[in-house]
Amino acid sequence: MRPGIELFNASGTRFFSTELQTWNYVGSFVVPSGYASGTVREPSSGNYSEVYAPGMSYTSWNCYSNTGTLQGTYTTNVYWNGSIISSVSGLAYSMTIGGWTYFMDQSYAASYYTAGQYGSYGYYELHYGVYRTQVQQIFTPQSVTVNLPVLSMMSEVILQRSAMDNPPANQEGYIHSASRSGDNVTANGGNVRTLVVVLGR
Amino acid sequence: MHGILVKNQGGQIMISSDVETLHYHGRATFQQTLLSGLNDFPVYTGDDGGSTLSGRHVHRYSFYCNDTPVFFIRPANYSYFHGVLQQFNSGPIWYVDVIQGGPISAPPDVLAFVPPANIPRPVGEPGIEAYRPDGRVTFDSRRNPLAIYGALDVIPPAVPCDGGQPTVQSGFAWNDSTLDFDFRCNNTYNSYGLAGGLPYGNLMFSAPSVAQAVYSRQKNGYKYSRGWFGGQSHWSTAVWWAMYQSAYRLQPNVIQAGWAVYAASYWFTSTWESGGWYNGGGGSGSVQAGDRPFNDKTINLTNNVIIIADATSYL
Repeated sequence: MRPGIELFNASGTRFFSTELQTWNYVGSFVVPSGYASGTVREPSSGNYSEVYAPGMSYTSWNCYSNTGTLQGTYTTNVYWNGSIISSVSGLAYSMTIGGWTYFMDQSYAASYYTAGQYGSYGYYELHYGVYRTQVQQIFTPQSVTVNLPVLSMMSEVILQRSAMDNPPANQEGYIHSASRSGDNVTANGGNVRTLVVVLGR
Repeated sequence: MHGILVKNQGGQIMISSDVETLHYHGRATFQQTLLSGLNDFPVYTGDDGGSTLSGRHVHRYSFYCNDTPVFFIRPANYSYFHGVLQQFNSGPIWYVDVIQGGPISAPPDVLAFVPPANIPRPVGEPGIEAYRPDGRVTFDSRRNPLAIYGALDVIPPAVPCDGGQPTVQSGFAWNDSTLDFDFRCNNTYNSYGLAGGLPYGNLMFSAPSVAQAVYSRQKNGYKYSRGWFGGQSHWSTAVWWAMYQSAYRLQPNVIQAGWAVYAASYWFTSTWESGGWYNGGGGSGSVQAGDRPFNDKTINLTNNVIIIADATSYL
């Protein structure tokens, strides 16, 4: 006979036992998505017409803050046959200026062909890829730290993260990372509202 | 200092009155099946009659609750992969979308667990209650506390496809649109052992589906037709693409971290140039079918925790 607690319902069915319990639910918290409200501005003029990117050179966009101030120029990635042939440093589809992160919107597939004659043979190149066409979301980094004093008694802690308010087909929906340091649990680094569940024992 | 603290023989805490244990609040109401199908590629008509995808169904549930609930899935069919795609709320009404892999729709039971404070308190039944110093109830044996049987840190394989990683490949005949790659995902998973003795047939699990992957197979085709006074080139491209979400399957003494297909389609284009034929040459043209709204990439592929418990006491 091992020491412990068992709980039975009125029918005599055991529904809780320290023998079966392997982890404690310590708590949960929600980290905001980071998307800020405000007027989302279109890129500078003319860029829609460059979706087909003549000459396969990269295209640049001017990005505006939600107050309409020009924040800088962002250079898109240009793809050819699924591979990036022109890229920029930093995050692949965003830029951060002055604490604001600007995300490009859902991608648009585009394609065009070039064909010609080389000697007695024809040549052909298919250019298809993905071109970002407008700034759709404005993002501010979010970080939440929750103090859970009971963690000081726990020898092991694990963290579950799940997405909230995130359309499943969103290819730019990154959930926050979460980590524990002492009695604190911190979650940040994503752009999707994230539910963090803390378990300990 | 007052309260309850129960430890196991390893010194690990099993119950603490300082912790708000999750309690069963109720079963979420099935609303509708939002998506169904994907046993084969939409638009594509060239398959051989067998399944080219593993199938999926997305079910939506609702639940009335003042707290943020933790949802558990009790599968109706344990041979299918499941995962919680997202949850969201409008005031106290919570919605949760569950993806279920497999060819047949089998909406699982979805159970909601929350701290006990806002769950109606039974009257007149004997039991154990624990309170924090601020008076908030943290444990109530009469309000169906959750016993967590297991929690594992798991991750699915990086590439969801049973056929491995698809490629872009040239050298095919013009208009070749024969699918030569296995996009199914039933047999692609990582396995994690569970403690023995668990009541397998009625286990439930909290399993967020956060990882997402898009993969595509591309076949480039070419033909050169020589006429009396020249030639004519023909080109084609066939692309099959599939988007997957991480999903999980409970089997006896093991949990499998794998994938369920979420979206898929087929994109085809064929074009030919003018000239090369007798007396004036042939005309040019092109045809195109399907779409390709997503890029090839994987996001949120990180370890995540699956929580396992017995649903018997709550259903």
